[in-house]
Amino acid sequence: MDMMSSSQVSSAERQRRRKLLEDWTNWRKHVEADLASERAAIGAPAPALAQATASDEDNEEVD
Amino acid sequence: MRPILLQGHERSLTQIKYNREGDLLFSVSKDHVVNAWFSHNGERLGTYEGHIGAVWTVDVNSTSTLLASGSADNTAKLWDVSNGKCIKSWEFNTAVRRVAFSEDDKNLLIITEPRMGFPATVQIFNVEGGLEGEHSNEPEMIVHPEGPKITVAAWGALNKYIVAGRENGSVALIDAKTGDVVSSNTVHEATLTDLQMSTDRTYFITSSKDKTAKLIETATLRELKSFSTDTPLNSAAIMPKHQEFVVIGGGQEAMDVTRTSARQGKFECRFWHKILEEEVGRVRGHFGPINTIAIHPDGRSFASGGEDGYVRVHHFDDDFFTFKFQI
Repeated sequence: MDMMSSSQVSSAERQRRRKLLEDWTNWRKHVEADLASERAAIGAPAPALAQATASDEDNEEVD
Repeated sequence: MRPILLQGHERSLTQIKYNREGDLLFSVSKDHVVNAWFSHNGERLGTYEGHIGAVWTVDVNSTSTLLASGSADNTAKLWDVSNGKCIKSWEFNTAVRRVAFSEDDKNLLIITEPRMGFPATVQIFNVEGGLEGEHSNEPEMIVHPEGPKITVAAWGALNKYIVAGRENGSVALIDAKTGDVVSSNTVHEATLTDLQMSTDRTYFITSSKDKTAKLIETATLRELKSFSTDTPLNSAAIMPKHQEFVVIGGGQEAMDVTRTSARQGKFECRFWHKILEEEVGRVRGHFGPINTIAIHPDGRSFASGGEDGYVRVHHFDDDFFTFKFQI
């Protein structure tokens, strides 16, 4: 797969990207909290798979 | 990228699906056959034979014991994954377009298409009995939603809602208990071809013949992200980990392409950054449109099924995992 070179990115573009990632993370926190409380309210167990998604790409292990 | 070619279907692929662990890959095709493969080496585990029409859809429960399939022969079938035996067959008036197990494996969603005076139906069957139990011929819930034909559907979180995608490009949230359409939003300009949930089902991705794929929030049906391409799309999937990517694919039908060049038909799986909405790469290989894409639950490989009759399994190289956008 040919990956796009990301070496020449303006600071404005970097700022835009940072903002998008930040917005996404905030939204994720919000919906994950909502789902967790909804799950708790009906006493549903957290499925094993759903837990794996909570992690961000930052704290993912790469070997 | 080392592709493994799965050769076992004689006609175009319609849907592929990994089991929860990702060690197995199930594929269905217009050739009437359901196949199961070992995803790491592409060896065939077995086939599930019994359908007498094109098989449009397949799903496997979370314990990999039950397999469901739906076909143009107007039946949906339940199979014992381990031995290939058909343990239940439901008969309908029209073709079955989509089957999907609920998060807790207790229910099976079945979508039938409208034809010759029969309306489309959304039906939910109780499959709690699993391999041993008796499965009722009657659904727990059945609705005939008015409006354009439903082409795709999936369960939302906690089995509360079903999300359905329609021929007119709209998505609808359907209450799984009452069958009421709670809300609707026209997110595409043409028919929806695929709809796949994120792992926790709080959002999903759609693909459409309008050449775009979109991320939609389940609870609100609000559009979160849009990925715009130059070719009609047939499938889209969300990477569960390692990279915040989505994979989308499609291509012009053979009859619409003047020359049979793969490049012209644009038969590529395209990788987009899910949050930044930027394309990051493409994977070629198919000789016809890509009909279905599935991503391994561990995010280390993915598979695509084509109009060309092949399933291609790709394991990502190391540089895939280290790739990072400058931010």
